[in-house]
Amino acid sequence: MELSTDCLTKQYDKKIVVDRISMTLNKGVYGLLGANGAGKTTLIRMMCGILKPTSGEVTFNGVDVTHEDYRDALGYMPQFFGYYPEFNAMEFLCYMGCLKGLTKKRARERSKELLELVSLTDVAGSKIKTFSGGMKQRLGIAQALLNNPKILILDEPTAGLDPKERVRFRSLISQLGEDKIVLLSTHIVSDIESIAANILIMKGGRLLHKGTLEEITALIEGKVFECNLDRTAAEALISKYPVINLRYQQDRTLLRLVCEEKPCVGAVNAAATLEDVYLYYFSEVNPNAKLF
Amino acid sequence: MQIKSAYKSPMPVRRDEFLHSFNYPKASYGDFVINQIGYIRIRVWLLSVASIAAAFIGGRVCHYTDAFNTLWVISSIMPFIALVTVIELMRSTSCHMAELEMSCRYSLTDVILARLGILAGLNLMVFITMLLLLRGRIEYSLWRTGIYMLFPFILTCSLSLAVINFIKAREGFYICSGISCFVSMINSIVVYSVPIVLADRYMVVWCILFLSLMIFLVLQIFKLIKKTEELQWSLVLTA
Repeated sequence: MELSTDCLTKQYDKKIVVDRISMTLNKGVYGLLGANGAGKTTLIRMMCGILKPTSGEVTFNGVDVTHEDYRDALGYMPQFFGYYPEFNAMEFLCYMGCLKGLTKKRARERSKELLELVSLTDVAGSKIKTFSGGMKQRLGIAQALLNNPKILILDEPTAGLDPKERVRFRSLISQLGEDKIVLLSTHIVSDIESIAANILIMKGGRLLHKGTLEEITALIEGKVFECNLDRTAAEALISKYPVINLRYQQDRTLLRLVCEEKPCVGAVNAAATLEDVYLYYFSEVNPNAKLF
Repeated sequence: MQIKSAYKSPMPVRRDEFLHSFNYPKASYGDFVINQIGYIRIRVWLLSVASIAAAFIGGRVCHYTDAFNTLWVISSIMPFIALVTVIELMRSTSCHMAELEMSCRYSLTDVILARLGILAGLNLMVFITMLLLLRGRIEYSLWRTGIYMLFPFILTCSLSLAVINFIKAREGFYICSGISCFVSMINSIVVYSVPIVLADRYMVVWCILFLSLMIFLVLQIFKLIKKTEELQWSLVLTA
């Protein structure tokens, strides 16, 4: 099972949104990290055959993304999706099932199974317009699983879910990753940290890094520091380095920051986390930053 | 039986995984199209039935002299049939379902083609039924009556599709509604107040306009189908 992109590029007028991305994904959960405008959604859309690349190709086991067999193996949940207003949850899933090539009977059976999986059985007959954001999100996950896909692509799937639902969703994704290729795009670093075996970092349309959590965090190992400073010293540092965390303790300020060398006397080296990596790559230093 | 009663059967292990390993039979393209009939909204069927009823009352129940009135009433209803057809075609975009549908085995292009086929078939049946109901009640030949009836329909369809192909769907619908009202009104005024336009000598003009509109409509349909092959990209995404 192999999902590959080869020099995948999307250019719109003069703007290159995705820039020559080549990668190979196998069974397992992959987390796609990147700031807004990094090109994550465009990359995902090209991998789902929704956008045509300017150049490059996407294949699954040698089958091109434009082929019906590719879409047959695909489950996709977009960041934002609509629904026909007259549909209830069951009708929506049955409709999507028909589009995914399931027979009417099988679509109904599968819809029932999935409504149970995402805890929406009680509201199967209710109109979707009455659903909360989290319920709609769970319905979106259910529709992506209708055809028992080999490739599962989820764009910001945990947005709108409460912590309990998010934990449930994480374990579901982990289970699915055992026999599928799961690509998960999110801003929520903790989601990726807890379920993605492989992490992809995108910036400015390019793939910056690809690796396991350990490999990714090793990139900034020895560059994360924690220091306890007075106000003046803290202000000097926040205008110089990307700050990961800032906490006030009486008249002192506890800073966690990323920098190439020890920022001040008394700074202690800390173990790097994925959030540190994210902020290292995506936060900007404000030279005029002041403490409140 | 004794063994069954003596031993308790073990709980199934990896049952779901086993069930998912089956390749369930897939629906054919024909099944998909038939399924799509059920998703055409009720108002489309109702308007079609109402149009046939109008033709029936005008053509079979009313006095012979009222048949001409029936012709202009029906031809004035036709733009609204065209409007519900276009709205039905663009439902995926207006309800933000396009992206989801594009990722499915039967993609948005298949959905649009299926809907187009179903609606075209339905409209053709409605049109032929109405034409047959009016047969012999109007002084014009069957094909000429057909052109007069179809002209407002084709005009509304072509203009509406041109608008939708040019403007984003939701805003386009308001313009399409305006177009159908305008075509219907103009049709009523022209046919009823200036019946001279239906004179024999203008028939060539009607035919030329009708054929031109048909070509324009086909071009717009091709454009619409082409548009469904890819999500309309927005720079806002990467702003």
